[in-house]
Formats: sequence, C-alpha cells, structure tokens
Amino acid sequence: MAAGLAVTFPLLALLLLNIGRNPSAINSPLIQKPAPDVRLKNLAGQGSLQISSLRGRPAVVNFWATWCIPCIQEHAALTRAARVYPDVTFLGVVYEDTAENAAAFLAQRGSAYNSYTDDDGKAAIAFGVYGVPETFFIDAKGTIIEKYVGPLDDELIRERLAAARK
Amino acid sequence: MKNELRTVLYAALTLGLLLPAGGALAQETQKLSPEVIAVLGEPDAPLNALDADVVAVLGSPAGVVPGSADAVGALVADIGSKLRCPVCQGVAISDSPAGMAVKMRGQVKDLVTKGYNEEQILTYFERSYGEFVRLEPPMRGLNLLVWLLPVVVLLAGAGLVIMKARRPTTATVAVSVSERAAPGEGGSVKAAEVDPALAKYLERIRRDSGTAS
Repeated sequence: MAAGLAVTFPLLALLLLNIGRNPSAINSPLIQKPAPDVRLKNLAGQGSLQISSLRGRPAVVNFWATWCIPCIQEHAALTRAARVYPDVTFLGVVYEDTAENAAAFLAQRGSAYNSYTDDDGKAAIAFGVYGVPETFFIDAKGTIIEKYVGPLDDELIRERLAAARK
Repeated sequence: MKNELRTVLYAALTLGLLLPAGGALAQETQKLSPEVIAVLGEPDAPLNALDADVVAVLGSPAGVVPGSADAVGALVADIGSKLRCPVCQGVAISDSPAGMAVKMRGQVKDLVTKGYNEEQILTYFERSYGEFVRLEPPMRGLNLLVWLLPVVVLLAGAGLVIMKARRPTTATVAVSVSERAAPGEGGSVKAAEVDPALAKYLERIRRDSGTAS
C-alpha cells in the first residue's frame, strides 16, 4: 500500500505539473547557442547566403512553405515588420516546397525580404525544425534568442524583437 | 656578351608571357566586388567542401570513410535506425518515408562519406533536436534510470512473488478455520478471534449447516 502510494504520487505530481504543456512542443536546445552556420541558396539558384554573414545585425529566420496556411497568414506581418525594423535582417527559408512555388507566391503577394531554398533540408535539420511555421530570433552576435513555433502577428514579432535587438 | 643579351631577351620574353597568366591567376583569387555579391550572392563553395556548420559543431572527421557504396549504405542504415524522425511518432528515420526523414538520411550519408563516425553524427543531430533525437537514450546521468530501473523492478517483483508463495495466504487461513469450526471437529476455534472480518461467513456456514448456536 505505502509502496504503491510512493510510486503513484510522484507520477501524479509530474502529470499535474505538466498538464498545461503542449506535448509536441519540445524546447529547442539551440536557445542561447550560436545560430547554425548553414549556407542557403537564393530562390533563383544563383547565389547563396552564409548564416554567419548575418552577424552584426539582429536577424529573423522564418521557415515557411506555400502549402502552410499559418505561414501565409504570418507572411503579411513579417513583411510589415521588415519595413518597420530596417536594422533587422529578415529572411525566409522554404521548407519542403519548391523554389518555383515560393517564387510564384512571393511575386503575387510581394515581400520586403528575401527567401532562400533548402532543397537538401540541411538548414531545417541544422535549426532543428519540426514543421512550419517556425521562426528564429537571432541577436547581432549571432546567438539564437528565441524560437517561435506557429504563426506570428505584429505584437508577437515586436515582443520577440525587443529581446533580439538589445 | 652575346650570351648575356640572349639571356636578358629570354627573361623579358618569359616575363611577358607570364604576366598575363599571372594577371588571370590574380583575378581568380581576387575578392568579388560588393555589387557582384549583392546581385549574385557569395560564390558557391566547392561541392566536396566540408559544411561550415558541421565543422563548427564537430571539428574534423574522426572516422573512416567506408570503402564501398554498400558499406556506406549499411552504415547509413545503421545510424539512421538510431535517429528519431522528428515529424513522425516514435519512428527511426531509416523506417520513415516522410520528406524530413529522407533529408535526414541524406545528411547522414553526406556525413558518413566525409568520414564522420557514428557518435559524431548522432552528436550533430543532437545539437539541433536535443537528446530526444536519439532513439536509444545514451547511458549517462538520469538516463541510467531508464536502463537500470526495469531490471531492479523485475528483480523486486520476482522477490515479491517468491515471498508470497512461501507464506500461506489469508484465504487458506480462512478455509482451515472454517474446516476446524465444522461440526464433528469440535468447533472449538473461534474464527472471529482469528479474523473478525470472517465472523459473518462463519456464522452463515453454521446457520446453513444447522449447527448455529
């Protein structure tokens, strides 16, 4: 009896403590670590960008796809933010989608920042991406300050940039 | 004198021939102008170059590149069976058709062919996804519980079963009490004294058998 309680109570406490948590949200081990220094090809396939070259300015790296409805929702907010914060480098990384789809989407909707392809998935793997949308806020030293899973809006971007722009 | 003149002439000729070539060489190593980079981006790294990110995390390869394509495939499958597919439910990347799993297998193959060993490759994925990405938790720290606790619980359970088997249970005590309380046996044992919870059953047996007091 006592042994049964000794096993059950700690398990019950563990359950109660974590009941509000999203089971699919796993904390990124990259927080407060340097951003993975991957190389991204631009949508036209002609040039590339090394993540370490972003250092010196805060950056927002947004993984997205044209088939992802929340990504389409947040695209407008990210474009507004890129205009409001010219001191921050915004960039998109296309996840599990073709460069053609992405280019067509951006041509139609317009964008204030560049998107890059990740055909071999190396950038998504290096950033530990589970799905889209996922957005990384990086400070001027190249350290990942926060990872946000899900669609962003103006307020969410403002709050997170406040930390990355310090 | 004539010889010296010839030497100078040759030297001038050689220099003249070399200069344009040297100029071309210098141009190749010269940095691209910012305008060109702005339009085209940085030039692509050579295909066989080590990924800057991989080098930053792992340093240089510590393993051996397998000799044949089959050996590479076998090693990729083996390492793939130890990595969790992040977009699936508890499946290894070697067992998943998901796009992300295919890409992770591609990265594993890339790292294997660069000479990185199994532990280095698992470490590379762990940097991005955390220990969760390893299907087998490494035997360290709190993880030791995962490996040792089942063995401890199994042994404790076996011990409990053996102990219970040796000691007579309350049920057998109850049967022997009612047997002894049966008519003809004297009925001298007061079952209620042995276990008050059994008193009502004993009472019922006595009533049914017509020996009730």
